[in-house]
Amino acid sequence: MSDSRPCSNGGMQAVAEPCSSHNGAKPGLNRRELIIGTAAAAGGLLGYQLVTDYARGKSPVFIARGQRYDGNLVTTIRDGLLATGVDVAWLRGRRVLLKPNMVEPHRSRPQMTTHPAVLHAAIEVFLTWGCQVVVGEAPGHVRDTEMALVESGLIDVIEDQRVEFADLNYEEAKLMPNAGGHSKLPGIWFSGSVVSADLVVSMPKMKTHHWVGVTCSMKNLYGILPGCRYGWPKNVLHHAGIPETVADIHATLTRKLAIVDGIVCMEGDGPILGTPKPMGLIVVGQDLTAVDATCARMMGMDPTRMDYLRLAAKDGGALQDRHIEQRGEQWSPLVSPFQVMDLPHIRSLRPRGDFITKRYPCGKLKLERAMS
Amino acid sequence: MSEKWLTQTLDRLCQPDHWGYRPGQVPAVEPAALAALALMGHGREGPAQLPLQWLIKAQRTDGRVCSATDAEAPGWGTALAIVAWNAANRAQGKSDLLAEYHAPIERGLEWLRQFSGKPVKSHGKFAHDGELIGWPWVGETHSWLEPTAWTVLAFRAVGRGHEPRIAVGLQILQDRLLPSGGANYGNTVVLGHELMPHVQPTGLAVLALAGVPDQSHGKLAGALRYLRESIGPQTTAASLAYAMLGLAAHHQMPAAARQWLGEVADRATGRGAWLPRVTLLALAALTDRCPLLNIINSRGAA
Repeated sequence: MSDSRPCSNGGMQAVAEPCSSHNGAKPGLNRRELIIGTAAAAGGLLGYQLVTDYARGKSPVFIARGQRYDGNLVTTIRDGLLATGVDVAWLRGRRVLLKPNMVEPHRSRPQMTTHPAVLHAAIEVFLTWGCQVVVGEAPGHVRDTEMALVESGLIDVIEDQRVEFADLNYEEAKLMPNAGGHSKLPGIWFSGSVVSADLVVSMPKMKTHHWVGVTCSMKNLYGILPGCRYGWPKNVLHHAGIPETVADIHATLTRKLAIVDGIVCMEGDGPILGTPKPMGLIVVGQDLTAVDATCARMMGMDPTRMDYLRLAAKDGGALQDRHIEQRGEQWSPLVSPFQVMDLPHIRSLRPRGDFITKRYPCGKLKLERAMS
Repeated sequence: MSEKWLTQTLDRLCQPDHWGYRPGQVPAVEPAALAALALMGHGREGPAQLPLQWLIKAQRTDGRVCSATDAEAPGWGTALAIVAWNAANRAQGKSDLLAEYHAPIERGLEWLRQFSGKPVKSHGKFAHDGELIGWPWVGETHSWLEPTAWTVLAFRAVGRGHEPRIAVGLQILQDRLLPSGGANYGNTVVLGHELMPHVQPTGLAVLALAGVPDQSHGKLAGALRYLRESIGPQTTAASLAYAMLGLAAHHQMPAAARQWLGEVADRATGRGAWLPRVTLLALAALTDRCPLLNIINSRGAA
């Protein structure tokens, strides 16, 4: 098993070393940063903040708009991966696990699961780059994985592309020490195909979530854990705290990136019973915190108010907009607030009105419409 | 109808490398128990002893049956092991105390008696009675449909269906049926919205509820209707198998269903080897001779 990961600086970064792309690693202070930080102390907190931001660097997130399932998603995804620093040379010959969302598929609700066209395109990109591609998923609400594959339409992609499918619910698993430490779980069981992968690609559907607000690339990682250890649903994680376990899984899985199906999303009562929300987006990035934060902003939510993102930011993920470098499109013109459940813990995730007015006048206008 | 798929399946189930979730994978409790049941049901009692003996080796001193070796390994397969052992005892025709698998069954039952789901107050968030205590997948978590259903079947199989916790288990299964028909993993209405049913858990739930007084206020009938309307030759293997077993337990299995088995089995095999899929079809092929259906008519089953 490789202990290295692709890094936006090119080449490999050993897991133990901090990576400036903020691929889930805690940023360490080097001598330069220490000197700057010490000097900045005299300038007070604001100066320190500016200096820290400068020393930290930014996490690139790629956004493509105007995307369609019958469009050229191969080019979009390839461009996105290259734009966010994926090292193609490193990927050659590597085992890549693509992890779509198949939580509880139903053919009448395609907005619930990752669209087959997005998976098809991602497979093609990684195959072209010489990777060994495996598609894997551990549906959380259904035990009949064959049914999940059929209802989601992903079976056609897997058969057409002749790639291996790993049923992560039933594999032998390995206990990994909980690298996040936000929940009480001392360790996290990863399915065998996850452990043996050189890279895990989280391929979520952009959706609202009636407990945590948004489910995207980080929450999608619940599906790399085996149901035979955690149950259906993976109630162990719920009892240990959803935000905490999302952050912990994210911290423990070191080799990852995200390709988000934001073409037809889900709003309302996500992640299962919501309604379609066309956005036409593909979002790509190696820093899943940054990817999810960007998606949340486009959904009309304030990611800094989301617990799992705040926890992930403590682990080094980029949450603040100033720590994220937008590649492709800018997110602010693409804000289209999602309908959400009228619940206090969800309403509190909306940005404050003055925040919207101050920086995103266009966004505020849309927000008012959505809430009327 | 070609039974080639059935013969090939049974032949493979005689081999230890087919008692896991994939060929060559280490044995696991659920596939091993289902393999034993399928072999016994199809008259291969001799080969069935091998997975049954493996299940004994997988049983911990506390009575839990689990294939993983760590201390926290979940024991949700214990009920399936009990059902398989009991089927073997019945096939051998020995009285309880002399039956070969009496001791592991009793140890397993004792563990299940002390293993329980965590009650959860609804606070208006969900509609089912979260304070009824059934069986969870993993300790310190909520009671869910499938582990509760299998435990109910296990206790009914050994004639202990009258135990108080089993009565609550039956109550849970009825409570977790969806108002509009069917069941899923065990949620019904969450935040005011009714969730979707799925065939596999619905089939298992109605199987476990067969032969007991119906106190579901029409939901059991709705579940059976959902199953009848949902299955066909395109239904996936595990779902079809559980649906057939559940409907058969209520004498409502479509006559055409058995003819779908070969086609469904071939398709499932071509989609990658998750062994229990086809094993379940082998069980469904037994129809009324299936050991799981014998549970419904067992002495002390209700």
